[in-house]
Amino acid sequence: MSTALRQTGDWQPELATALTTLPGNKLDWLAQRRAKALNQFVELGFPTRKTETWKYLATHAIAQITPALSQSAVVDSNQITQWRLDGCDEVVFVNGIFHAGLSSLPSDQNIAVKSLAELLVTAPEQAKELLAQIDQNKANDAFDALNQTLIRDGAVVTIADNGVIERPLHLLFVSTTTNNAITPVNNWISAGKNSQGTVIETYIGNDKANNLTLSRTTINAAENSQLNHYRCQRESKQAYHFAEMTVEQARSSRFSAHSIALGSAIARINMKIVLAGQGADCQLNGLYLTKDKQVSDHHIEMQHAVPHCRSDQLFKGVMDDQSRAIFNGRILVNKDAQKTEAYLTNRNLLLSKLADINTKPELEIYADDVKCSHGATIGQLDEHSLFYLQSRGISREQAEHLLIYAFINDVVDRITLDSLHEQIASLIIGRLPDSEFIREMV
Amino acid sequence: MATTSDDVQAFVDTKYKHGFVTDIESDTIGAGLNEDVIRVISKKKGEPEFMLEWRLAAYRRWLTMSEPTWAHVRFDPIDYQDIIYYSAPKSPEDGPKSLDEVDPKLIETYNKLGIPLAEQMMLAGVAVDAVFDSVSVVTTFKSKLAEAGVIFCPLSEAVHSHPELVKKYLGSVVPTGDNFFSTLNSAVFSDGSFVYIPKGVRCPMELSTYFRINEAKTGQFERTLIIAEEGSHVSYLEGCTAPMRDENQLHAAVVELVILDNATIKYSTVQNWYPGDENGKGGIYNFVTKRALCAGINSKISWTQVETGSAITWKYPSCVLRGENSVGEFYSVALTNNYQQADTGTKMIHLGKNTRSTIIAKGISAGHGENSYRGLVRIAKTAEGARNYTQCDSLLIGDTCAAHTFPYMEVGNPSAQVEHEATTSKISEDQLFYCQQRGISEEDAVSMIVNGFCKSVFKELPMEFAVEAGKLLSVSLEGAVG
Repeated sequence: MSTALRQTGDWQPELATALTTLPGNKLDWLAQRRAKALNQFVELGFPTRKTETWKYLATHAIAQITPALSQSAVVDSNQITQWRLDGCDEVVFVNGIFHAGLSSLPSDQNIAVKSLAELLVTAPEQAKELLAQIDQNKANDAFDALNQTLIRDGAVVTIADNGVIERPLHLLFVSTTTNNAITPVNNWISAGKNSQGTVIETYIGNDKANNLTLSRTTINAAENSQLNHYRCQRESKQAYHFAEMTVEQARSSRFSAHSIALGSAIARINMKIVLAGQGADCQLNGLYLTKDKQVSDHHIEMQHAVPHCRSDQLFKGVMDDQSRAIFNGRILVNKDAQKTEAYLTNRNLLLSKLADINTKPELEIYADDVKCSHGATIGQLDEHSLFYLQSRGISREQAEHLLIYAFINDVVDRITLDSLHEQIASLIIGRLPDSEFIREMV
Repeated sequence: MATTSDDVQAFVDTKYKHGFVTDIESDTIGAGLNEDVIRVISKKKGEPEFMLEWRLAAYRRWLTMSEPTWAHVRFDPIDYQDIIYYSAPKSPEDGPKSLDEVDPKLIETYNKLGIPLAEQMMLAGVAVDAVFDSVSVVTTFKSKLAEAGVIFCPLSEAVHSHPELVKKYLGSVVPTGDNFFSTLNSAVFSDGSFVYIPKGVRCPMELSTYFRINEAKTGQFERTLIIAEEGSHVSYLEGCTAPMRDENQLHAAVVELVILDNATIKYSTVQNWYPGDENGKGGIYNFVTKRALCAGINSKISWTQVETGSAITWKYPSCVLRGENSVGEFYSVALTNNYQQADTGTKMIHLGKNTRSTIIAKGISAGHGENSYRGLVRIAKTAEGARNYTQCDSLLIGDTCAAHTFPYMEVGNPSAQVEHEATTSKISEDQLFYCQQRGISEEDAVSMIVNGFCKSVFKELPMEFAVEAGKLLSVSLEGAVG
């Protein structure tokens, strides 16, 4: 047990080797970019609990792994059938690499999906433009820098101006790797002016997968666009998942997002939403369920940069066994962002004596004509409701499970995409004891 | 008192020689901090050996620490070697001879607050040789307290008269190495108050009353220790609604409260130190560590604070709820105007079963003020059935100020119930219009609305201070409107 803690610098030799195998490594600008990110990774070091934003999340387990890049694998179509979504176009990535054979690309002219790896070869200039959207000087932490070092593949989704996309697009990231391999993913979703569309990102692994997924999604919602985004993190119990999501909303755009976090041993997501155009509206819903020794961490920053924007966030969590959850939601209202409306609600349910929750909803407000509020609760099931159900002949355990489901369902019901709603609801019921009973009741 | 900067520099450059200690006769020692300075402080106060050791241990610890930077406040770095760590209280002859010599602005404020003339003289430091009314009052109070068995004296006196109590409790709630500023305080604290309420005694008077008239110039490193024995009760008020002019920029005080079975302490603070001028120049840095330990069953602590002064307020009166069924309460009003900054809140550490806590925090920002609420609610695994309710509201006046909320909730017990609510808003045009159309001036209307906003905190203050606190808010908000 007395092995010295490995530092980011110890990863350098392996990472340097990995760099030579990456697509586009002949491109000077990209090589420079990756080298810079590698330096940042080494300099930043693995986050420690002394850093305010990592106060509650220990990452030393990850420092111990021997870094290697995940490789493409042969996956049979049958294996992923259960994860597909009905009525959606699907883009499948296996271990972070685009898999054309399993994908069914959209036929709609108004939506284009490309693989980043392909762009790096066929249209490097376009890839350069995309990467320029990620400000390298603002690397959040070592994991973010590591993803930028290993930038490899991902989906580039573009919805044309005025395009109304009827079929939702499902980006399915499947992990099969068993050697703690690193899976870097970088996605871009851009919704053109007056466009409408729905994009789902699902991160999933087979039971034995123990990948370290590093994901970044850059979303741009242009003027008057309406974008629905779902993010389902269902990685295996051994996996590590570190994600960044940045959103910029232009004038009168409407963005509705869901973050469903169910999997991984350690999962962390940093979301940053900037309401950059007047009249922008953002609805953010989130759900995190943890059990065994899982740790789930959400860090959200909602920035109101201009006046007359509205944001509303609802996050719910249920923690069981020895699991832990961390929630940090920050509402930042800039100096001139008058007439802002910003709300945040975070509700948590602890089911076990060994489970923990650390929540910190923050308000940082520099304008005076605003309506902002946040609320957080941590509690148990309501005794009166339990009694009511018991008085109707339902056993206490069953009543408890039913109420837990009702608690979660509040967020699940906000999923308006039917096939996904069904998939997530059934998944959550399956996690609860007495699932048969609950299925029957609901 | 006057030391030119050359003197200071010369002093700083001097190497302390052996035997230096005995040479010191003057009432002020130069700027700078080292072990010898601490020895001098301890010697000057004639402290027993154990206190010196305690101070030195704290100092050595302090040397290994660095100033924390996490608070949402900005200030120029403090030069700890440029602070004079000991100066005897000014002699009364140095003070103004009558109220006529006192800054008329100060007198004006006193009048607005409705402070009686005799007290005004006290507060302004007017030297009064003649029989002073309050002297007899003080004597009456003293005998009354002695009758009840309550010990209330300067900490420096308690070190001699009750060393066993001081030894047992000093540093038991805020350990010497707790944080940067409290450690500094432990090393160099000048003086403070010591209160001991014996078993089953209900303190016959609000210690506030006595304290206010008899306030000693305790200097910038004040230390308060209050012990409430089983079944006792005491209400203590610190500070004053009157503005305090003070030369020292850094104030790092420590307050420790120990509450045993079934005892209650109610601790109220009204802080109105010099906030700096309209442009944010000068003002006090108020970096204070306050903590109460509810050690026994059913013990209760109630903190109430009204913070309107200081350029920077950085403090978190905390409650460690160790005893079963113990209760912690925190009521706070923090106002920042002009360029004032405040990062204040509380910590509720629930350790015992069925412990309960309530937090009501009201922040008001005006001018270029920045007001942050930062609070921690921690429910330990052992705190079965713990309950917390937190409400923090911010009021913004003007578009150049800021209000922030940083609540930390760490819950490790499924039977706990923790609720937090926060809102931020401004005074609505409707409210103002309503008042104005009834002939109330804009300024009065704002002050009225602000007072209403703070009412749930003011009602926790001892009666006479609640009235003054209301007036204080109006005075502090002057110039914020229109």
